[in-house]
Amino acid sequence: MTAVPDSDLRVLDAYDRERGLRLARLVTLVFGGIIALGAFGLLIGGLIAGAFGHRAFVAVFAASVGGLLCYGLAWLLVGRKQLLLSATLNLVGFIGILATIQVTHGLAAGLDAVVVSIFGLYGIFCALAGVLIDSRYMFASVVAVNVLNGVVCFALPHSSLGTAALVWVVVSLEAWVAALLTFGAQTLYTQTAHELGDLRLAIERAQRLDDLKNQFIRSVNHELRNPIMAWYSAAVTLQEGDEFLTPVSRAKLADRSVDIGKRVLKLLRSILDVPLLDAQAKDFTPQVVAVRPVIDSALELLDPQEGGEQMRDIHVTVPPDIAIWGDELRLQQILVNLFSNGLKYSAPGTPLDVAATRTPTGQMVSITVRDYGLGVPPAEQSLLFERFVRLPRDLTSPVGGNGLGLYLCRVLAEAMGGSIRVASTGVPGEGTTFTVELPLPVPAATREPVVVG
Amino acid sequence: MKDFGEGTTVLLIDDDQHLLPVLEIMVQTFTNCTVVTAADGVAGLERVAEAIPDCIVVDVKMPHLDGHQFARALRGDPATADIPLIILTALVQDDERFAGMATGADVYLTKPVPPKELLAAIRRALATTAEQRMARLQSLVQSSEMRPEHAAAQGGLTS
Repeated sequence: MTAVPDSDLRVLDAYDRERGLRLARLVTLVFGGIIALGAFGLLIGGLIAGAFGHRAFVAVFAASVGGLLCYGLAWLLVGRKQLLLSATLNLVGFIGILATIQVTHGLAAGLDAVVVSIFGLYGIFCALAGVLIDSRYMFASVVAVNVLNGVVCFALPHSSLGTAALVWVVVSLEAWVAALLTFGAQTLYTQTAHELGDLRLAIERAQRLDDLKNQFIRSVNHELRNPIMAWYSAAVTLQEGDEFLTPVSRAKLADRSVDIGKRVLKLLRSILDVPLLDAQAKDFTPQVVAVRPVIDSALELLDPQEGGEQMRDIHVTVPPDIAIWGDELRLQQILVNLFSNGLKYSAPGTPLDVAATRTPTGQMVSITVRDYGLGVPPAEQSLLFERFVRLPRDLTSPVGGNGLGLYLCRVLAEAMGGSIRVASTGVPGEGTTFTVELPLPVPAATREPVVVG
Repeated sequence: MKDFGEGTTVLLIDDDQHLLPVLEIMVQTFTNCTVVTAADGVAGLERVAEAIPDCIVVDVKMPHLDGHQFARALRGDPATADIPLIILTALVQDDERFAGMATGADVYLTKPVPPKELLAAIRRALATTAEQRMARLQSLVQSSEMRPEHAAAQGGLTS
């Protein structure tokens, strides 16, 4: 059995919470409804029978109205996802009514059958507490109910201390039995629920992998179709049309064939080298790297064709003394990818902003690359740094790519102890901001010795 | 190998910098036509405006104006509505194919298509254009023969 990753546990917790809220909503509605009906009945009955003169009746009626208020508040709190508070109000609201009935009845009649049978209902509410919140909360409520029962038993008129004590012990035990039974059922239920949750996670993961696979096939598919067709056509023309070809045409076909070979090889390498990249990303000796010169060299490395026909304004605002603790080549690769993306996915003539600052906490350097292009829809941002992911719109656009650039950026940034994130509204023209955070150089004295070899 | 001669023009529109020059040489070599090229739909329409070609091969995924938009523009103009159109695409989804048919492509080929199939499609298209031209010419000649003054002139000669 493999360990469950933290992210999965969080998801499972969220499922649990969602179930708890649904249940709390149902319980609040049902018991609140019962109390509302009861209070309404008391009101009508009391008015007809003229019972509002009796102190006991007024007390019970007031308790039902109080209970109703508790349930109203509990309903609001469930809406705000305040599960614990709303469950407590559930308990207080109903138990308050039960206790009032016991006391008002018992003050006159003593510890009679009515009072004792009402004790039986407390156990139900303890069990409910366990179902709504958890077993710890349930056992705490059992203790509270035990105390309340004890107070009621000894406060009401009773024939002897022994009788009161016996009734208290029996009703307390009853609450514990109810709680323990619930605990058992709860444990079994939770286990099943988690198994179902695991299953749901597994299905979601499988679906995501399937999506990735399809995206990969679509993008590579497209990137291969053009060069293969060109290659095939060139070969057929050279073979069968040789006698009609001018030397110039023949040379052109040969040149194109070589170019196409390079293009296909580049595509294959970028795909096949992914496992190698994963393995080698961490294989470097960290050192102090000044950011500004790396940005300049990355800009020089850009393929001039990617920026469109026109020259672009690239605003670089980086203090000369800013440096990171990492590897120059890896930083350069990240920057080249981000710059070329920024140019590829924005209109000709729009600028590119590059900036670097220390983060407010002072532990990291944050490098931002901002374009004013198409943006990334928020719904699609979470998948952006996975391998082979391309946005749906790019799959049908002329902008080529293999969906590896941002994956590479993430692997390299994480290898240097950093991170990468994206911010975009997804509104075309508002653009996209990529932020890479990398560690600041550590003062020499506190550095861990670098193990070489 | 049927020789159409330089009076026949084929327009190739594709944004792939490797494929377009290769197709240009190939089509030129095997059909002996005049081959005109364009790298996107807008440039393609400009070429059509300069001289109406006898056949057009167009890619789908292109900047500025894609293949479907190009096809719609072409079909929307009576002067160019009859030009045989071959859509050559790297997209394989069925909905793309239907989009191609809906915009009035005569042939829809998916890259990579064997070169001879593309050439055959171009030849068929050129033959269609030639037949259409011939038919139009004949109907023109016939209608001029039927004109009354023509008939009168003929009658005048024979009497």
